[in-house]
Amino acid sequence: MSTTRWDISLPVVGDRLADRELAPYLLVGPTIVTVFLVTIGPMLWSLWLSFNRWKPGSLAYQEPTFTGVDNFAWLFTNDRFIHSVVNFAYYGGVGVFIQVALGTLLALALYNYVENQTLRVGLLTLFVVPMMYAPLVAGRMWQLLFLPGGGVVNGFLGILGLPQPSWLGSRWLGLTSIMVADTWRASLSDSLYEAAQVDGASRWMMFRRITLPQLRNLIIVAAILRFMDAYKFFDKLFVMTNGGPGSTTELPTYFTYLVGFQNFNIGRAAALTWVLGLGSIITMMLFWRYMRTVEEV
Amino acid sequence: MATTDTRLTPALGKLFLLIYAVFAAFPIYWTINTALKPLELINTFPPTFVPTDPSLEAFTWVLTNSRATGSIIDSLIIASGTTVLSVLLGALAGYGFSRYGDDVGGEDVAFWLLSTRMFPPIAVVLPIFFIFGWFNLQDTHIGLILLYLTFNLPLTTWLMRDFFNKIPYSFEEAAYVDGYSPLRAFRKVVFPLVRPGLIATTMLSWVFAWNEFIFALIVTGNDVNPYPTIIPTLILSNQILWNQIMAMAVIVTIPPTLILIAFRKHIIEGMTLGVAEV
Repeated sequence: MSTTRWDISLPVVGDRLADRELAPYLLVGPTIVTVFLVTIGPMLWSLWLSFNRWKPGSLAYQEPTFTGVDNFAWLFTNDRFIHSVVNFAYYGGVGVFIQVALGTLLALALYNYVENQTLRVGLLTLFVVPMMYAPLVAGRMWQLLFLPGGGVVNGFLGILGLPQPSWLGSRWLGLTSIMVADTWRASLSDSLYEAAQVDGASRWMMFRRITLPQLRNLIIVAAILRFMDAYKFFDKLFVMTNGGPGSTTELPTYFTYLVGFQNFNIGRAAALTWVLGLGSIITMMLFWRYMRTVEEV
Repeated sequence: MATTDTRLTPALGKLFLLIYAVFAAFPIYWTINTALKPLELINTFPPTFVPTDPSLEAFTWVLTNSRATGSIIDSLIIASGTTVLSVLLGALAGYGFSRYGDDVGGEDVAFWLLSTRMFPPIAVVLPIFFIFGWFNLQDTHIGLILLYLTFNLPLTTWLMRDFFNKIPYSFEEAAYVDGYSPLRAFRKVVFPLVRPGLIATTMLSWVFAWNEFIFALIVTGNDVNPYPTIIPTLILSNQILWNQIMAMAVIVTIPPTLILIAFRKHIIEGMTLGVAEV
């Protein structure tokens, strides 16, 4: 990732001067314009909408009406939103920790204890196949596995004579079950696998004393990645619990979806998306700063 | 202490891998197993671990039902269309950022492009839903193709920039010395070297578009029905057609899995690389 290459400019050879001056803009321009049209532009409009009351279909707010920070005041005092943020704190915190820890252990075990190359590649492929499932499809699969009556998880427990909980039927257990589904789909991060290859240590002591410190930055990167995913998390929640029972397992993005596309309270939903987006960026920046301090020490 | 460690940890490590392998493999097995069972053998106690009389009925349904096949064709059109556009634009921009980075804002602009991915998808689709309404793009292939650029174009640009950065600039310089034009140098020198990266980027952006759900849910559903929007229609008020859902799941998971097996190294790299180097 060196930037030195950029310091060398193209040789100026006669008629190619024009190419050289125009080329950067011709190459990068179309992408910048496209991203502006499909992402930045709409989001700026949505930023303006977040200061408006707009409820298409309603009588009073047929058109966007400027209401200042009302939408933000509404959401920060909304119990259901705060509830969804608490759910996210649990889901994001515990989920990311477990997934990153599992990914690290898997990578290390795979490299250190599987000598046979074919077996190692086979296992690695097996661990990544779940990632190829559409999140929606994975959610349905786990919904089936977790069915309270007749689901195979409770089937196993029944055979063993153990209690058979209603996995998706309550707040914390529901969130945890969704977390299991999400862990199944994506826990092996390749950056960790690569790291394990380079820094493979064969014993726990060595792992703790040498490998873990070396892996720290990669683990943080993996955590950032997983955290970003958790932030955007939607599909599996949508199919597995639909935010229920009631609204107990709702996460912020799902709540935003309901406000925007069930109630058509567009201004409020816009305010929500901006709070979530800025929250995401601020979280990343904090992670980033932490990582920098770790590097400097 | 150290000696017990050496003897014990490999065994523990292997046991851990074995348990995780079962955890990873079982839902895959169960997807196929459920697709092969008639409805009355699903959700039984004890569970039917091996279907005694496997039936391809559910697969036949997916492949002959016009809504199911139509949805797969819609998904193919949309995923392929968006991939062509995002790889084409992203490869050009990636090359631009790699070779002329400072002229076009350098790292900052590239990073700023990627940071648009930090917003949850709902943040983009909320305003887009209304904008699409004005331009009659709701419920169209082209609408979803454009919408998928929001996550795929930053990804392809970033990945391609990285792949181009791995090719030393001196290769092109040598070509210029030999009297090649920039275009010819690109075609003859850079392109062959970047081709594996280009293929991986293409495959990855295809898989992302193929598996997308929330955008499809919001902007399509009547005229255009990508496969994720069809699966919910198999949940009837009185029963869930699990075997058909899982047959559909098997069929739509095959293409990404084949891509994974064929391009394993590049795909796994790309899945994390895109954001790992933020």
